[in-house]
Amino acid sequence: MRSFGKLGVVLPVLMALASCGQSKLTDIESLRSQFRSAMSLASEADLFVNFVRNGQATVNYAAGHAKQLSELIQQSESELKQMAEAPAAPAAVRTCNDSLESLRREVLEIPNSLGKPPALQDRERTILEIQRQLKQASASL
Amino acid sequence: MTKILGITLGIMTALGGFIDLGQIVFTLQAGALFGYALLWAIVLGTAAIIVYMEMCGRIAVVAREPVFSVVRTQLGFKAGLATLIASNLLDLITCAAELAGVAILLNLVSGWNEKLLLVAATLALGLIVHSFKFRWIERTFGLAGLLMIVSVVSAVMLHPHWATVAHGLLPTLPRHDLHGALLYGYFAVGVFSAVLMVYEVHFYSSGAIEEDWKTKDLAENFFVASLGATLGALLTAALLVLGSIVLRPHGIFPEILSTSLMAEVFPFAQRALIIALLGSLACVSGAALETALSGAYNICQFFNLQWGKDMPAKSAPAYTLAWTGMLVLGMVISLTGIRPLTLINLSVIFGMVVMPFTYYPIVRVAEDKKIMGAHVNSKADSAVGWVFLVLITLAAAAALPLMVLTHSGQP
Repeated sequence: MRSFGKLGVVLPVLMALASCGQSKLTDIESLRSQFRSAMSLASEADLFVNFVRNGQATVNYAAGHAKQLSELIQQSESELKQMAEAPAAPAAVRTCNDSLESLRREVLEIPNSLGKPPALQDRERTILEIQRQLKQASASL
Repeated sequence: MTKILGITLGIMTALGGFIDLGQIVFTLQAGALFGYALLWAIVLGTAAIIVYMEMCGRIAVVAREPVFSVVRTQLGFKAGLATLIASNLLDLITCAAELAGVAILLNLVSGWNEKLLLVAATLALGLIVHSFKFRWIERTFGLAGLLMIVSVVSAVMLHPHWATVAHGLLPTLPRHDLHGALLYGYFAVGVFSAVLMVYEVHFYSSGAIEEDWKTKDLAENFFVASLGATLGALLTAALLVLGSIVLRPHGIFPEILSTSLMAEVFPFAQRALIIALLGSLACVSGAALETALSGAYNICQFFNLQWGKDMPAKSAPAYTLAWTGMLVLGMVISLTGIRPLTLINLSVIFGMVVMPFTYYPIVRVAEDKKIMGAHVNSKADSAVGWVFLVLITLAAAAALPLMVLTHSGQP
C-alpha cells in the first residue's frame, strides 16, 4: 500500500511527460503521418462543404465549424514548419504546406458561401483539387 | 412518477460519464479508424460500470459510506490521499475540458465569442448548482441529455451492416502492422476507460446518499444503474457506428467536437443539428457539473467534512468552496487556450491508471459481511467484481505505454 502513496506525486509528473511526448517530425514516417492528417482534413472540408450545400448547417454552426477546422489546419501547418527545418523530402513538405494553406483559405470562405450554390460548388472543386495534389505528393514518398 | 424521475440519477450519471466531450470524439475516432471492431470495449466497460455502480450504490445505502470514505478506510490515509489527489486532478482537467466543450457548443449555437461564453457558462453552471436542489439538477440534465438519441436514430437510418456490427461485439485480435496494433490497443483501453471514468461512481454513490435512498430502494439501485449505463452505452455505440459509416470511408480522423455533430445528424436536415447541439450541450454541461461536484464530494468524504448539495452553503463551507473552486479553476485552465481534447486524452488514459485504486476498495467493502450484513455480495457478484478489477488493472498497466508509443493515438 505504501507505494500507492507516491501516486499523487508521480501522476502529475507522468502527465506532464506524456503531454510533452507528442511526436517530433523528423523522418519520412512522420511526414507520411503528416500527409495522412492533411488528407483527413481535406476530406473533412469536403464533407463540410457538402453538409452546407445540402442546407443541413445553420449559419452559426457553419461559422463556428469553419473556425475550428481552420485552427486545426493551422496547427498542422505549424507542425510542418518544424519539419521544414530538417527536411526529409523538401518538395513534398512544400506541397503539403501549400495545400494546407489553400485548404485553410477555402474552409474560412465556406460560411460566406452559405446559400450560394455556385460558390459552394467552386469551393468543393478547389478542395477536391487539393485532395488530389496531396494524394499525388503522398504517393511519391 | 417520483419513481420514474428517480431513474434520472442513473441517466445523468451515465450520460455525463459516457457522453462527455472525450467520449464523443474518442468513440468517433475509434469508429473512424477501426469500424465496428471496438464495440466490444463499450459492452465490456458497460458491464463493468453497472457492476460497480450497483455495488457503490448498495454500500452507500447500507453502510452510509460514499466512495471516498471507503477508499480512505480500505487503502489507509496515505494511499487514500494519493488516490484523492490523483482523482481530483483528473476531475479538474476533465471539468476544464468539459467547460471548454460547453463554450464551443454555445458558440456553434449563438456565434458569440467563445471566451466570453466560457465565462458566462461557468457562472451559469455555478448559479444552477447554487440555486437548484440535487434532484432537479439531475432531472434537468439527465432528461435534456436524452436529446442525444438523435445519434441512435441517425445510426439506424444509415443502415449499418448488422452482421458486422454483431461481429464487433466480440473481442478480436487486431490484424494490422505494429503501429496499427498499438493504436487498436490504445483505443480499446481508451474506450473502456471513458466508459468507466471514476467520477461516475463518485457522483452516483454521493447521489444515492443525497437522495436518501433506503434499503428498500436497493432493487431500484440495480435498475437505475443498469438502465442509465445501458442508455449511455447505446448512445456511445451509435457514435462508434456513425464514425464507421460517415467518417471512415472518407479517411477522416475527427479531432474537433463540431465534426462529431456533423456525423451525428448526417442523414437529417438542419433541425436535427439543433437537437444534437442541445443534447450535446446538456451532456457536456452535465459532465462539467458531475466532475466539479465529484471533486467536492471526494474532498469532504475523505476528510469527513460536512457535505451535501441540498445543505445551506454555510453548513457545508468546505463542500461549497470545493465545487466552486473546481469550476473556477476549470474555467481558468480552459481560458489558457489548451485544446480540450489534449486535456481529455490525458484524463481518459490517466483515469485508467487511477481506476484500480477506486474500484478495489468498492469490491472489498461490498463483500465484507461485517459491513454489509444481509446485503453483502453474493459469490457471483464478487467473482464478477474481481474479474473486472483484473481487467481494469491490466488495462491500467497498458495505458501509459500505449499513450507514449502511439503519440496519444495519432494514426
